[in-house]
Amino acid sequence: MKTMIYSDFLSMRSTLIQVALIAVVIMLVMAFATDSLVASSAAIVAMSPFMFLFSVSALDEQNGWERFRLALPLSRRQVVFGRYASVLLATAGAIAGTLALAFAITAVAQLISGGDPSSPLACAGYDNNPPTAILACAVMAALVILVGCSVALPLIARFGVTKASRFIPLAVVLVLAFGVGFTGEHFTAVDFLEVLESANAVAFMTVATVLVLAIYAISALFTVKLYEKREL
Amino acid sequence: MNHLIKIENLEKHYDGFSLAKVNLAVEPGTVVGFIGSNGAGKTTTIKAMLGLIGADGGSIELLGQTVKVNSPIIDQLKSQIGIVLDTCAFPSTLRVKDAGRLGRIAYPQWDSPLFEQLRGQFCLPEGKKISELSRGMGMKLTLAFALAHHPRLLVLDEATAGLDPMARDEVLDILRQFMEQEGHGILMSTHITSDLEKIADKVVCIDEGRIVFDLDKDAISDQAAIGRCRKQDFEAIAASGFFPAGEMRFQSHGFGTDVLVPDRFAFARQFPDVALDRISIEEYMTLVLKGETR
Repeated sequence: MKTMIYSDFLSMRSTLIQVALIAVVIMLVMAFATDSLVASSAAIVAMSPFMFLFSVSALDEQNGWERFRLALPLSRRQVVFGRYASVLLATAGAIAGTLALAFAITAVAQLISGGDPSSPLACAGYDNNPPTAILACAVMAALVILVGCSVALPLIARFGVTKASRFIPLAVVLVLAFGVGFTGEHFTAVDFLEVLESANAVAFMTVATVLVLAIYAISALFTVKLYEKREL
Repeated sequence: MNHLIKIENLEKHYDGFSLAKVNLAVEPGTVVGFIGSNGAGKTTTIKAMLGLIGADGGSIELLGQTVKVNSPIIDQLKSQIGIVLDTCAFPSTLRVKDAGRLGRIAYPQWDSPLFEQLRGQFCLPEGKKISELSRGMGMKLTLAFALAHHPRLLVLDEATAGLDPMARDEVLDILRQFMEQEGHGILMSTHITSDLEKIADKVVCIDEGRIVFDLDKDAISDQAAIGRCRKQDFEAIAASGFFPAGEMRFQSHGFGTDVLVPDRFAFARQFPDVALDRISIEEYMTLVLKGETR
């Protein structure tokens, strides 16, 4: 599994640098367009793992790498678990990088504006961007995108990324729509925001994280079964 | 003695193509050339052997162990096998030195100095991206990668394709050095049969999913020949009973008929007036696959 994770990040090294630069630009543009870093942080966290997943899966199909990789001392199980671990690490990296960037921007804005609400940089200061809100939205965005990856990864393992990209948008939208429809009856977006601002926020996010990681793990086990049957 | 590869009665069925009871063996100390036209079943056989596809029948032994798709044994055995497929398969974003890094993580017995030595010998700049390598350079990198973990068995699928003649000779020299070590063996699938003339001990030919011949190379190079026959010679040979019915293979052309002679010494004794030429592996294969029979 270590080989798989290493090869994923080794081959994605230059792409990750590009993604990081794109993320900085998007965050700055969105921050000034929406007067908030909360939404832009969530957007960056949601975007990066999916970009990682599709880019690294596209490399699998180049030059017969996927076939050659299985000629290395790697089992199919290790390939699948390694890929799930890589996406998870990319997600964790996206959260860490986004939070670092967002907090750095708020700190600089706060420093320059001196807390003056009339300053043009006040929109990027602490008042508009409470750190807990940024953290909560980044984590929740990561959890939503991990559910998306849980749907996309089995399809990619079964069909390859070229064919799977025809089904993934539909499948992800259906799963998320089903999820929103199911929870929406009992739990609206307003309820969600209230929970995040309440004393139960940590407990709520812990439960959500455990639930999503369980879905991710089940998806990985299912993907192993699919990939073991794939002929390369 | 354990075979490095022993495939018995391998079957694999696709729509419009089947491998039909393929037998193939590579013993330690031998280089086996695996030849056949495009789509004959060479790559399918190799893929089944490496567990990249499942087999529908038969058995596969690698390095003395019976293997099946997804069996843990095959994953352990792969560290003792060097693979060179028909393309440089590393992701295009990697650099040459990254292949060495990857090998160090993937193989417990990875030999970094050997990889560096081969990289230098093949003139592969360490900072060059895979996407910038020519086909020949890509194949050299894959070969260096395959050799740098000290495999016992090399499986080469069109490894010398795309290399210029000098580079091919260089690669063949390296393969000879590899074979100097006891217990090593090579399965070499190729269209360039002249390489096999230089290095192979055995030649196995597959056509439409069936093995059509499996011979020591000397049986082709030293014992077999092409009989260059005029029309009256050809008829006399056909009528002589020298060849059992249906086993005389020949190709006619404007100047006469070429006959595949499996034993040139016996043939020369019986037909001293018929000119005999040495036969290359390619000519042998062409006569077997494309020749008429009588």
